[in-house]
Amino acid sequence: MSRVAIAGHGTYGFGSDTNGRSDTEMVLEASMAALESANLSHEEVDSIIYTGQDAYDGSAISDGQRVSAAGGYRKPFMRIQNGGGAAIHQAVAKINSGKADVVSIVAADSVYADPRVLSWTSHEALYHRTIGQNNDQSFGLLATVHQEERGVSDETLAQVAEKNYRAAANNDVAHRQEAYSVEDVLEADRVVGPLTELMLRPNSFGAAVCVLVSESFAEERGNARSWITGTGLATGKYWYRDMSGRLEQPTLQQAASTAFEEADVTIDDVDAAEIAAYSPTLEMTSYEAIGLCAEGESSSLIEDGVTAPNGSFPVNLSGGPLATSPPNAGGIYRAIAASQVIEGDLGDGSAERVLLADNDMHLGEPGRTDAVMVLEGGAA
Amino acid sequence: MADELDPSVQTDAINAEYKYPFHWDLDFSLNIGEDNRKFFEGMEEKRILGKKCPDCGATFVPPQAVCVECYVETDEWVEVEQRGVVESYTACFFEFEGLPEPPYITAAIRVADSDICMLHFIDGIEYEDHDELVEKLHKGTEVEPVWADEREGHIRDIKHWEPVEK
Repeated sequence: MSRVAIAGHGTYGFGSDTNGRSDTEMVLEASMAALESANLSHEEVDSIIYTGQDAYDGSAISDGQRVSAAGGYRKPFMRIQNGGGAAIHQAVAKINSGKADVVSIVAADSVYADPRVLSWTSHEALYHRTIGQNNDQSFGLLATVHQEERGVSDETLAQVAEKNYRAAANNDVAHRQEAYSVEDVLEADRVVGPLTELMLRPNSFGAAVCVLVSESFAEERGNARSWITGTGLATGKYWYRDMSGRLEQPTLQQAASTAFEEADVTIDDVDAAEIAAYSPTLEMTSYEAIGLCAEGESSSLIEDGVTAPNGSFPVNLSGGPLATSPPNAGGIYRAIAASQVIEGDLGDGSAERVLLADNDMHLGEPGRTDAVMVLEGGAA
Repeated sequence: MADELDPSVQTDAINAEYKYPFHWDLDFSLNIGEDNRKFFEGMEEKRILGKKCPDCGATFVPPQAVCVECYVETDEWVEVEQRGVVESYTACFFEFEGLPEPPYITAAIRVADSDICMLHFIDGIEYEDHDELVEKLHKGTEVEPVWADEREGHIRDIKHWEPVEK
């Protein structure tokens, strides 16, 4: 497979509000910043992919309202609803198929709505909406299984959150930038089961844009910030009906396996990861799914500080979704953060290869699509 | 635009900060299909129905039109025993719109020998706090349905499930 480069990226935010900016203004600012960092003009962009969901945008066909700000007029413009990772995966396919040399991937979050209503409005109506299945309850069900089957303590769950907040304190675009302690996390308001408010993600606002270019284009322009050398995508069934298998995250396993194979590496060749984990349980079981440790042994990684910001395999040097979680822009932002780890702008600058794992779990787990990418450094 | 909006969406400072509130108020109707119709008709008669896969023999409660593993149409209806086991549960301490006053418990319940779970409420447990609940409810706890006196072919025809007294 030819390599695809992340040539540029830009963000607006993130925070608990848009600071008075509209979606169009945020998309425009982030897009212009991304193009500038890629040393590209708007005319050179071949195609735009927008990722977002109508319910979180407050309007139907919401991509149509962002075409102009994204620089998409007179260009192929498509929309993907199930997450930034899937959109990046599609952009890589578009470039590798020869359909484009330069693709801009765009997302924004600007509308405030009660997430506890919205999350189950987006779910299957027939059984679950009336019963109250929503994102937080989905994470609570999983946390209970995790504790009962793997013996994970509340303190360990809190340690996962603490190390993410420690990282976010050094990230000036993170939504939550306070380095909460384990005690802070445990003493926060309880929401579902063992999970407190600080073990669950905030609803963040802002915008993120990432510009991907083909290998030949990057070599010609010398503008590669990092390289996507492997990609994987996998979709699974309605897992909350099958609790026993959920801790194994088979779709993440499958997507990671495909990405590793394509990049011709194993987890041993990877230095760090950015993982879309919307609760401590999901982060810990992700360690096991990507092969960082054996099944049921993720607690020791936390206790030994392996995945902490100063550990030997830091996970979520951006702070991860517990610190910053825009529903539409989260996947793109995590790709940007993964690239920043390669570029030396997050962490100690020593990572040469980073795993990016995104999914559509911010709504809970009515279904599941995982997108995994391997990012590497190296000159264009 | 609605006259009054839920304060949770922060519409109290509308004009001062140039925030313009808006509201989606759309009514929808959904044809639930033959399988679900039959399932809910059974609920009205205090019966719990499922469907079986002709290839692997898996039973699905609630019924599914297709076996998720074999990708074949399920074809045999079965009435299952009104017992289930808790696969997971969570106590909810935050108020969600349209749901019971917290705390309340949502559980993934495997009914009879179903290959999948259904989601419902667990009640009939006395507890003071989360720690006490954790001691009383576990994966594998046997539960049975408590039916509503008035039923209308709806998932809430079962008011809730509660642990089986032994």
